[in-house]
Amino acid sequence: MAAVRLYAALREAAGQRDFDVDLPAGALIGELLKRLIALRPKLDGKILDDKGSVLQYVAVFVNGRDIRHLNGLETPIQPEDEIAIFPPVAGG
Amino acid sequence: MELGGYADRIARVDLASGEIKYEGVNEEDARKYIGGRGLGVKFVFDNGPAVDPFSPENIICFLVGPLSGTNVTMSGRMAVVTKSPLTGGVTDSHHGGWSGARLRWAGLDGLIFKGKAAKPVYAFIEAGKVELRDASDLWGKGAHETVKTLLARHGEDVSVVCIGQGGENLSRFGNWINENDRASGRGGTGAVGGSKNLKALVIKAKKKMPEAKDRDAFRAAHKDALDAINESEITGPRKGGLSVFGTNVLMNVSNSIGALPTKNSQLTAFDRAFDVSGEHVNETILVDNPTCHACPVACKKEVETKAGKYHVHMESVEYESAWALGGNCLNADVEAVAYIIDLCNDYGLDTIEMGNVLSMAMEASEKELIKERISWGDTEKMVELVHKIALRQGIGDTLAEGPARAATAFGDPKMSMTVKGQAIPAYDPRGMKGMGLGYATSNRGACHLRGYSPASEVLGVGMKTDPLAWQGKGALLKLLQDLHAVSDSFDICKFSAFAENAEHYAAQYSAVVGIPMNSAELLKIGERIYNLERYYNNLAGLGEGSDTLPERFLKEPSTSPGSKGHVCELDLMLKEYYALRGWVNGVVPEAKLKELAIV
Repeated sequence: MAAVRLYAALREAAGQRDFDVDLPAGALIGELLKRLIALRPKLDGKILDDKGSVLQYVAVFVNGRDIRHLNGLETPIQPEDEIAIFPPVAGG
Repeated sequence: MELGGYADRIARVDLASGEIKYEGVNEEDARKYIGGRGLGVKFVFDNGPAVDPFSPENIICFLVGPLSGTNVTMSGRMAVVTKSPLTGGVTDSHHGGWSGARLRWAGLDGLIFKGKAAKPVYAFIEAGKVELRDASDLWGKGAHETVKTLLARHGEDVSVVCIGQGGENLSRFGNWINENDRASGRGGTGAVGGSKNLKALVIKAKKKMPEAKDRDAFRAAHKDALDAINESEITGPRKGGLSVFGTNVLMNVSNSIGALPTKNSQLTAFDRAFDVSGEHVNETILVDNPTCHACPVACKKEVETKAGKYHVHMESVEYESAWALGGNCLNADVEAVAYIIDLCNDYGLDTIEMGNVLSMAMEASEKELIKERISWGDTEKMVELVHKIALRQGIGDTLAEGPARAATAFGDPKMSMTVKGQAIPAYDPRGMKGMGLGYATSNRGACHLRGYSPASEVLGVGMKTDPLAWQGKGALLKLLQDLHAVSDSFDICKFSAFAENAEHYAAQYSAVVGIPMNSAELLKIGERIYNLERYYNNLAGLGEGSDTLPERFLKEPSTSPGSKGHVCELDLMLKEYYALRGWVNGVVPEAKLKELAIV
């Protein structure tokens, strides 16, 4: 069970902020994202593109680290991991 | 002057004698420094580095650039440039709204004030002329009442830029407030106004869009740039994250990666960050989405609070302010945050500096270095201290000097989260290494807007870099610093860079001004501006060793997920950065000055 937290427009699309997603040990973040989208079909097209890659400027963090600096969608996740997903946002 | 885009008219105002002279824009300076920040830095440089910021000999410039007031997206900004009483170096601080566009429509590129008026005055600007008028009745009034009074006096098509009691009482972080809520916030420019008895600028003008030198090229260049803004997932109106949630949407991002300075930077994440975030503001107190001249993004988030004890209706809860007065002080009450931001705006005090001086005082209280009891997150005490700082009452007299000087007075300078005397904004260098280099090498003291590295380190705009890697950050910061020096000199909002690139900038500038220019040539101008600032600072006493960070970021590892165990490797980044800049330990050598045609 991994804890997933959605922010900004993703949260609005999903209708809730926090999800617990069941996954087998050693599952990959890519599988989690697909399972999440299946749980909330309104997230379809908002996190992954048609080819299954993470959309530009969408940030997926595993325990605070962007998967672009880990192993991308092949990053393994553990049951105690915290996942945060942000749509394209900016400020300053 | 041959160049398009400029009004070719600058007013030089001697506040002591009341004499006002007008001059054209020097074409060579316009080609080398553009306008806005760049031209302002040149004026301050020419006035000499030895001047005391609060002396009549210091100048304060209000400038726009060649793109100001045109159709160029986000071209409504104005630069306030002077020698800073906070840092002792040159500073420029910009505000949005309409006053920048209106100054151009009123037929001026800028005003340069010198001397000190015998009694309070304001400058009334209309149809290319400036008049000094008595402001005795406004002295001692807050920004909100000043704006209200002057709008009633001068009618429609007017912008009011003014100081509050903070600037009048020479708080070193007194600022200029435009149209009630837009701040030229940083560096203490409002206090320089106060030292000169200059209360306000009143700019009266109807819309009169400047014509581009090459109209056909401008139409094409403007369309390309506007398309980029409209189609962006970040800036797209009513769909992009910045447009929908405003700047404060960053709160949860920074917190998630362990890069949110918390409890005066003793921590790198705040467990109640969501409560003061843009998402929470939208859900609870948002009432409107105002915008600035020529901007479809509308990132302002107007709020109203009615339910709790803090009642306020104000224009925007911005990320930096919400952080400074929120998690930085362990305060999770978003209504109190909105109230205190508005109070700071009314007094004309920088919210970033305010949040830092309050969090430093909380730490000093906890360490029993001061008698005053100031608990973390005590919003009533925060409000009380804002009043005391603005009016220089009690401990407020010391805190009005800013966190660096106040921490020294309290006996522990290490409590001050400042660089060159100016306080940090909302990014922790332990979780965002490039921002640490940006703070250290910023010519105006700690600042996120000199080189906005989160665009790359977090968002991936341009190129994605790892926020925890120090390698390559020298090149990233040099590029961003040079690019932002250009946009500040146009003067357009940096948020355009979330969608536009240097080619967009070059095409629009070329069409308006009539100088063919590519992005590399434009960045060279940015580099020249950055080096002129640095040269001025070197001459003003900010030499080797001044590019540093608070020890906390260098020696106390982060304890939060995302950045746990990390400190900021500043020395390694500085070595890389100085090599690319051609500087010697932060000092510009003569060869570099000659290469850039500064001397």
